[in-house]
Amino acid sequence: MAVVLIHAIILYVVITFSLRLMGKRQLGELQPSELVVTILISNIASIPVEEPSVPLLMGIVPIFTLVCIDLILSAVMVGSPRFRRLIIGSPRVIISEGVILQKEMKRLRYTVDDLVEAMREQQIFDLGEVYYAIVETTGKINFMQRKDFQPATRADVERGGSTSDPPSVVIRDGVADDEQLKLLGLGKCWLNEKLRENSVSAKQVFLMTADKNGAVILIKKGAN
Amino acid sequence: MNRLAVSISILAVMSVGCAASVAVSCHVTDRMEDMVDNIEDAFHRGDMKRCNKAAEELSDIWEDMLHYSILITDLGHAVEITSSIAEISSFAEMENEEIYAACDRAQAQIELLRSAAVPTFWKII
Repeated sequence: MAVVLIHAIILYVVITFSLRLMGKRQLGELQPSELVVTILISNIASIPVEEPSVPLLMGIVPIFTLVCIDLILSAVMVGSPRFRRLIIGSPRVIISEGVILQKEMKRLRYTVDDLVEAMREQQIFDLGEVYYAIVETTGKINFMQRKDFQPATRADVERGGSTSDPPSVVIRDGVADDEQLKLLGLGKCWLNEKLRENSVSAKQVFLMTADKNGAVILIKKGAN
Repeated sequence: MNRLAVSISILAVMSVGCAASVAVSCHVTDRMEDMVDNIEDAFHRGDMKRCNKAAEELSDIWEDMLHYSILITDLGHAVEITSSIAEISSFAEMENEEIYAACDRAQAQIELLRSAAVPTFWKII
Protein backbone atom coordinates (compact mmCIF):
# COMPACT_ATOMS: atom_id res chain seq x y z
CA MET A 1 0.00 0.00 0.00
CA ALA A 2 2.80 2.41 0.92
CA VAL A 3 4.52 1.62 -2.40
CA VAL A 4 1.37 2.63 -4.32
CA LEU A 5 1.21 5.92 -2.39
CA ILE A 6 4.87 6.72 -3.07
CA HIS A 7 4.51 5.72 -6.76
CA ALA A 8 1.47 8.01 -7.14
CA ILE A 9 3.22 10.99 -5.51
CA ILE A 10 6.38 10.60 -7.59
CA LEU A 11 4.38 10.12 -10.82
CA TYR A 12 2.35 13.26 -10.04
CA VAL A 13 5.59 15.23 -9.78
CA VAL A 14 7.01 13.60 -12.93
CA ILE A 15 3.90 14.28 -15.02
CA THR A 16 3.60 17.87 -13.77
CA PHE A 17 7.26 18.40 -14.67
CA SER A 18 6.69 16.74 -18.08
CA LEU A 19 3.76 19.01 -18.91
CA ARG A 20 5.79 22.01 -17.79
CA LEU A 21 8.61 20.83 -20.04
CA MET A 22 6.20 20.56 -22.98
CA GLY A 23 5.26 24.18 -22.42
CA LYS A 24 2.13 26.28 -22.87
CA ARG A 25 1.36 24.84 -26.31
CA GLN A 26 0.39 21.53 -24.74
CA LEU A 27 -2.23 23.12 -22.51
CA GLY A 28 -4.23 24.69 -25.33
CA GLU A 29 -5.53 23.00 -28.49
CA LEU A 30 -3.77 19.69 -29.10
CA GLN A 31 -1.96 18.95 -32.35
CA PRO A 32 -2.06 15.30 -33.52
CA SER A 33 1.40 14.45 -32.14
CA GLU A 34 0.58 16.12 -28.81
CA LEU A 35 -2.71 14.23 -28.58
CA VAL A 36 -0.79 10.95 -29.03
CA VAL A 37 1.68 11.89 -26.27
CA THR A 38 -1.12 12.95 -23.89
CA ILE A 39 -3.10 9.72 -24.37
CA LEU A 40 0.01 7.55 -23.99
CA ILE A 41 1.21 9.38 -20.86
CA SER A 42 -2.14 8.91 -19.11
CA ASN A 43 -2.05 5.18 -19.86
CA ILE A 44 1.61 4.61 -18.98
CA ALA A 45 1.38 6.57 -15.73
CA SER A 46 -1.42 4.37 -14.44
CA ILE A 47 0.62 1.13 -14.69
CA PRO A 48 3.10 1.65 -11.78
CA VAL A 49 0.26 3.05 -9.65
CA GLU A 50 -2.05 0.07 -10.25
CA GLU A 51 0.76 -2.52 -10.05
CA PRO A 52 3.07 -1.97 -7.06
CA SER A 53 5.36 -4.76 -8.32
CA VAL A 54 6.14 -2.78 -11.48
CA PRO A 55 9.21 -0.58 -10.86
CA LEU A 56 8.56 3.16 -11.04
CA LEU A 57 11.20 3.55 -13.74
CA MET A 58 9.01 1.45 -16.08
CA GLY A 59 6.62 4.39 -16.01
CA ILE A 60 9.07 7.27 -15.82
CA VAL A 61 11.35 6.17 -18.69
CA PRO A 62 8.57 5.94 -21.35
CA ILE A 63 6.93 9.18 -20.14
CA PHE A 64 10.16 11.15 -20.41
CA THR A 65 11.00 9.46 -23.72
CA LEU A 66 7.67 10.54 -25.26
CA VAL A 67 7.91 14.08 -23.89
CA CYS A 68 11.51 14.51 -25.03
CA ILE A 69 10.78 13.16 -28.52
CA ASP A 70 7.77 15.50 -28.78
CA LEU A 71 9.92 18.46 -27.75
CA ILE A 72 12.69 17.58 -30.20
CA LEU A 73 10.12 17.17 -33.01
CA SER A 74 8.61 20.57 -32.11
CA ALA A 75 12.06 22.15 -32.36
CA VAL A 76 12.62 20.53 -35.77
CA MET A 77 9.17 21.75 -36.90
CA VAL A 78 10.08 25.34 -36.00
CA GLY A 79 13.06 25.11 -38.34
CA SER A 80 11.37 23.20 -41.14
CA PRO A 81 7.88 24.21 -42.35
CA ARG A 82 7.88 21.18 -44.68
CA PHE A 83 8.45 18.81 -41.76
CA ARG A 84 5.76 20.66 -39.78
CA ARG A 85 3.30 20.14 -42.64
CA LEU A 86 4.25 16.45 -42.77
CA ILE A 87 3.65 15.91 -39.05
CA ILE A 88 0.68 18.15 -38.27
CA GLY A 89 -0.68 19.02 -41.73
CA SER A 90 -1.79 22.46 -42.85
CA PRO A 91 -5.03 24.45 -42.45
CA ARG A 92 -7.61 23.76 -45.18
CA VAL A 93 -10.18 26.13 -46.62
CA ILE A 94 -13.62 24.53 -46.89
CA ILE A 95 -15.66 27.64 -47.68
CA SER A 96 -14.04 30.15 -49.99
CA GLU A 97 -15.80 33.42 -50.85
CA GLY A 98 -19.11 31.95 -49.65
CA VAL A 99 -18.78 28.80 -51.78
CA ILE A 100 -18.58 25.42 -50.02
CA LEU A 101 -15.66 23.41 -51.40
CA GLN A 102 -17.35 20.00 -51.39
CA LYS A 103 -14.30 18.10 -52.65
CA GLU A 104 -12.17 19.49 -49.82
CA MET A 105 -14.87 18.63 -47.26
CA LYS A 106 -15.08 15.08 -48.60
CA ARG A 107 -11.29 14.80 -48.48
CA LEU A 108 -11.28 15.91 -44.82
CA ARG A 109 -14.27 13.64 -44.07
CA TYR A 110 -16.31 16.57 -42.77
CA THR A 111 -20.08 16.37 -43.14
CA VAL A 112 -22.48 19.27 -43.55
CA ASP A 113 -23.67 18.52 -40.01
CA ASP A 114 -20.12 19.06 -38.67
CA LEU A 115 -19.94 22.34 -40.53
CA VAL A 116 -23.34 23.59 -39.32
CA GLU A 117 -22.55 22.52 -35.76
CA ALA A 118 -19.24 24.40 -35.81
CA MET A 119 -21.08 27.46 -37.18
CA ARG A 120 -23.62 27.33 -34.37
CA GLU A 121 -20.79 27.12 -31.82
CA GLN A 122 -19.56 30.46 -33.16
CA GLN A 123 -23.06 32.01 -33.13
CA ILE A 124 -23.47 31.86 -36.90
CA PHE A 125 -26.85 30.45 -37.92
CA ASP A 126 -26.99 31.27 -41.63
CA LEU A 127 -24.59 29.68 -44.09
CA GLY A 128 -25.03 32.74 -46.28
CA GLU A 129 -23.18 34.83 -43.69
CA VAL A 130 -19.97 32.80 -44.04
CA TYR A 131 -17.31 34.19 -46.35
CA TYR A 132 -14.43 31.90 -45.41
CA ALA A 133 -14.24 28.72 -43.31
CA ILE A 134 -10.89 27.20 -42.45
CA VAL A 135 -10.24 23.82 -40.81
CA GLU A 136 -7.23 24.32 -38.55
CA THR A 137 -4.63 21.60 -37.94
CA THR A 138 -6.25 20.95 -34.55
CA GLY A 139 -9.51 20.07 -36.35
CA LYS A 140 -11.27 23.24 -35.20
CA ILE A 141 -13.23 25.16 -37.85
CA ASN A 142 -12.83 28.93 -37.86
CA PHE A 143 -15.23 31.17 -39.76
CA MET A 144 -14.96 34.61 -41.25
CA GLN A 145 -18.30 36.30 -41.78
CA ARG A 146 -19.07 38.46 -44.79
CA LYS A 147 -18.36 42.12 -44.08
CA ASP A 148 -22.11 42.89 -44.19
CA PHE A 149 -22.67 40.64 -41.18
CA GLN A 150 -19.65 41.71 -39.15
CA PRO A 151 -19.99 44.38 -36.48
CA ALA A 152 -18.69 47.69 -37.89
CA THR A 153 -15.32 48.86 -36.63
CA ARG A 154 -13.90 52.38 -36.68
CA ALA A 155 -11.70 51.40 -39.61
CA ASP A 156 -14.78 50.23 -41.55
CA VAL A 157 -16.47 53.58 -40.96
CA GLU A 158 -13.39 55.45 -42.15
CA ARG A 159 -13.03 53.22 -45.22
CA GLY A 160 -16.67 53.68 -46.09
CA GLY A 161 -17.57 50.02 -45.80
CA SER A 162 -15.33 48.65 -48.55
CA THR A 163 -15.09 44.87 -48.58
CA SER A 164 -11.81 43.04 -48.36
CA ASP A 165 -10.73 39.39 -48.25
CA PRO A 166 -8.97 37.96 -45.23
CA PRO A 167 -5.21 38.18 -45.63
CA SER A 168 -3.18 35.01 -46.16
CA VAL A 169 0.38 34.22 -45.16
CA VAL A 170 2.59 34.46 -48.24
CA ILE A 171 6.02 34.28 -46.54
CA ARG A 172 6.63 32.48 -43.26
CA ASP A 173 10.09 32.34 -41.73
CA GLY A 174 11.82 33.32 -44.97
CA VAL A 175 9.99 30.81 -47.18
CA ALA A 176 7.45 31.96 -49.78
CA ASP A 177 4.17 30.04 -50.02
CA ASP A 178 3.58 29.66 -53.76
CA GLU A 179 0.22 27.95 -53.19
CA GLN A 180 -1.18 30.93 -51.26
CA LEU A 181 0.15 33.35 -53.85
CA LYS A 182 -1.69 31.41 -56.54
CA LEU A 183 -4.91 31.36 -54.47
CA LEU A 184 -4.71 35.14 -54.04
CA GLY A 185 -4.13 35.58 -57.77
CA LEU A 186 -0.78 37.20 -57.08
CA GLY A 187 2.39 35.92 -58.74
CA LYS A 188 6.04 35.69 -57.88
CA CYS A 189 6.65 38.93 -59.79
CA TRP A 190 4.24 40.80 -57.51
CA LEU A 191 5.96 39.33 -54.45
CA ASN A 192 9.45 40.28 -55.69
CA GLU A 193 8.22 43.81 -56.42
CA LYS A 194 6.79 44.19 -52.88
CA LEU A 195 10.01 42.86 -51.37
CA ARG A 196 12.02 45.33 -53.47
CA GLU A 197 9.76 48.19 -52.29
CA ASN A 198 10.55 47.22 -48.70
CA SER A 199 14.26 46.68 -49.50
CA VAL A 200 14.33 43.12 -48.16
CA SER A 201 14.87 39.64 -49.55
CA ALA A 202 12.42 36.81 -48.81
CA LYS A 203 14.94 35.22 -46.44
CA GLN A 204 14.94 38.36 -44.25
CA VAL A 205 11.14 38.21 -43.78
CA PHE A 206 9.67 36.58 -40.67
CA LEU A 207 6.02 36.99 -41.72
CA MET A 208 4.31 38.56 -44.71
CA THR A 209 0.58 38.55 -45.26
CA ALA A 210 -1.37 39.80 -48.26
CA ASP A 211 -4.99 39.99 -49.40
CA LYS A 212 -6.46 39.92 -52.87
CA ASN A 213 -6.30 43.69 -53.11
CA GLY A 214 -2.55 43.47 -52.61
CA ALA A 215 -2.54 44.99 -49.11
CA VAL A 216 0.58 43.78 -47.35
CA ILE A 217 1.78 43.40 -43.78
CA LEU A 218 5.51 42.62 -43.54
CA ILE A 219 7.48 41.76 -40.41
CA LYS A 220 11.24 41.45 -40.77
CA LYS A 221 13.22 38.79 -38.91
CA GLY A 222 14.52 39.99 -35.57
CA ALA A 223 12.30 43.11 -35.71
CA ASN A 224 11.17 42.56 -32.11
CA MET B 1 15.93 26.27 -26.54
CA ASN B 2 16.40 25.56 -22.84
CA ARG B 3 13.63 23.01 -22.99
CA LEU B 4 15.27 21.40 -26.00
CA ALA B 5 18.59 21.14 -24.13
CA VAL B 6 16.82 19.64 -21.09
CA SER B 7 14.96 17.08 -23.21
CA ILE B 8 18.12 16.07 -25.11
CA SER B 9 19.96 15.71 -21.78
CA ILE B 10 17.17 13.58 -20.27
CA LEU B 11 17.11 11.36 -23.39
CA ALA B 12 20.91 10.98 -23.24
CA VAL B 13 20.86 10.07 -19.53
CA MET B 14 18.05 7.55 -20.08
CA SER B 15 19.85 6.00 -23.08
CA VAL B 16 23.02 5.58 -21.02
CA GLY B 17 20.98 4.13 -18.14
CA CYS B 18 19.20 1.65 -20.43
CA ALA B 19 22.48 0.59 -22.07
CA ALA B 20 24.03 0.11 -18.62
CA SER B 21 21.07 -1.99 -17.45
CA VAL B 22 21.43 -4.26 -20.50
CA ALA B 23 25.18 -4.58 -19.86
CA VAL B 24 24.66 -5.37 -16.16
CA SER B 25 21.93 -7.93 -16.93
CA CYS B 26 24.16 -9.66 -19.50
CA HIS B 27 27.14 -9.64 -17.14
CA VAL B 28 25.18 -11.07 -14.20
CA THR B 29 23.40 -13.74 -16.26
CA ASP B 30 26.73 -14.76 -17.82
CA ARG B 31 28.20 -15.18 -14.33
CA MET B 32 25.17 -17.18 -13.20
CA GLU B 33 25.36 -19.47 -16.24
CA ASP B 34 29.07 -20.05 -15.64
CA MET B 35 28.31 -20.85 -12.01
CA VAL B 36 25.61 -23.38 -12.97
CA ASP B 37 28.08 -25.04 -15.38
CA ASN B 38 30.61 -25.09 -12.56
CA ILE B 39 28.12 -26.78 -10.21
CA GLU B 40 27.27 -29.46 -12.80
CA ASP B 41 30.96 -30.09 -13.51
CA ALA B 42 31.89 -30.32 -9.80
CA PHE B 43 28.97 -32.68 -9.11
CA HIS B 44 29.95 -34.82 -12.11
CA ARG B 45 33.54 -35.09 -10.80
CA GLY B 46 32.29 -35.81 -7.30
CA ASP B 47 33.93 -32.68 -5.89
CA MET B 48 31.10 -31.90 -3.45
CA LYS B 49 33.00 -29.16 -1.63
CA ARG B 50 33.41 -27.15 -4.86
CA CYS B 51 29.82 -27.97 -5.83
CA ASN B 52 28.38 -26.61 -2.55
CA LYS B 53 30.60 -23.53 -2.70
CA ALA B 54 29.49 -22.79 -6.28
CA ALA B 55 25.81 -23.29 -5.31
CA GLU B 56 26.28 -20.78 -2.49
CA GLU B 57 27.94 -18.30 -4.84
CA LEU B 58 25.12 -18.73 -7.36
CA SER B 59 22.63 -17.97 -4.62
CA ASP B 60 24.59 -14.83 -3.61
CA ILE B 61 24.78 -13.52 -7.18
CA TRP B 62 21.03 -14.01 -7.60
CA GLU B 63 20.29 -12.24 -4.31
CA ASP B 64 22.39 -9.28 -5.47
CA MET B 65 20.45 -9.25 -8.74
CA LEU B 66 17.13 -9.33 -6.88
CA HIS B 67 18.27 -6.33 -4.87
CA TYR B 68 18.21 -4.25 -8.08
CA SER B 69 14.68 -5.31 -8.95
CA ILE B 70 14.51 -2.75 -11.80
CA LEU B 71 16.58 -5.22 -13.84
CA ILE B 72 13.85 -7.86 -13.55
CA THR B 73 10.70 -7.04 -15.47
CA ASP B 74 8.75 -10.20 -14.66
CA LEU B 75 8.28 -10.98 -10.97
CA GLY B 76 6.85 -14.48 -11.67
CA HIS B 77 9.97 -15.36 -13.61
CA ALA B 78 12.15 -14.16 -10.72
CA VAL B 79 10.24 -16.42 -8.31
CA GLU B 80 10.86 -19.42 -10.62
CA ILE B 81 14.60 -18.72 -10.77
CA THR B 82 14.74 -18.32 -6.98
CA SER B 83 13.08 -21.70 -6.52
CA SER B 84 15.40 -23.40 -9.08
CA ILE B 85 18.48 -21.99 -7.32
CA ALA B 86 17.14 -23.14 -3.96
CA GLU B 87 16.65 -26.63 -5.42
CA ILE B 88 20.23 -26.68 -6.77
CA SER B 89 21.63 -25.76 -3.32
CA SER B 90 19.48 -28.39 -1.65
CA PHE B 91 20.35 -31.16 -4.16
CA ALA B 92 24.04 -30.26 -3.89
CA GLU B 93 23.89 -30.69 -0.12
CA MET B 94 22.00 -33.98 -0.42
CA GLU B 95 24.24 -35.16 -3.30
CA ASN B 96 21.07 -35.92 -5.24
CA GLU B 97 21.40 -36.61 -9.01
CA GLU B 98 18.27 -34.55 -9.70
CA ILE B 99 20.66 -31.61 -9.53
CA TYR B 100 21.27 -32.07 -13.29
CA ALA B 101 17.59 -31.43 -14.07
CA ALA B 102 17.51 -28.46 -11.68
CA CYS B 103 20.66 -27.02 -13.36
CA ASP B 104 19.15 -27.42 -16.84
CA ARG B 105 15.95 -25.71 -15.68
CA ALA B 106 17.94 -22.86 -14.09
CA GLN B 107 20.04 -22.44 -17.26
CA ALA B 108 16.90 -22.10 -19.38
CA GLN B 109 15.35 -19.60 -16.93
CA ILE B 110 18.54 -17.51 -16.75
CA GLU B 111 18.73 -17.51 -20.55
CA LEU B 112 15.14 -16.20 -20.63
CA LEU B 113 16.05 -13.49 -18.12
CA ARG B 114 18.95 -12.44 -20.30
CA SER B 115 16.88 -12.39 -23.48
CA ALA B 116 14.21 -10.28 -21.73
CA ALA B 117 16.81 -7.57 -21.10
CA VAL B 118 18.41 -7.49 -24.55
CA PRO B 119 16.39 -5.53 -27.14
CA THR B 120 16.51 -7.68 -30.26
CA PHE B 121 14.72 -6.81 -33.51
CA TRP B 122 12.22 -9.67 -33.23
CA LYS B 123 11.40 -8.81 -29.64
CA ILE B 124 10.89 -5.13 -30.45
CA ILE B 125 8.43 -5.81 -33.25
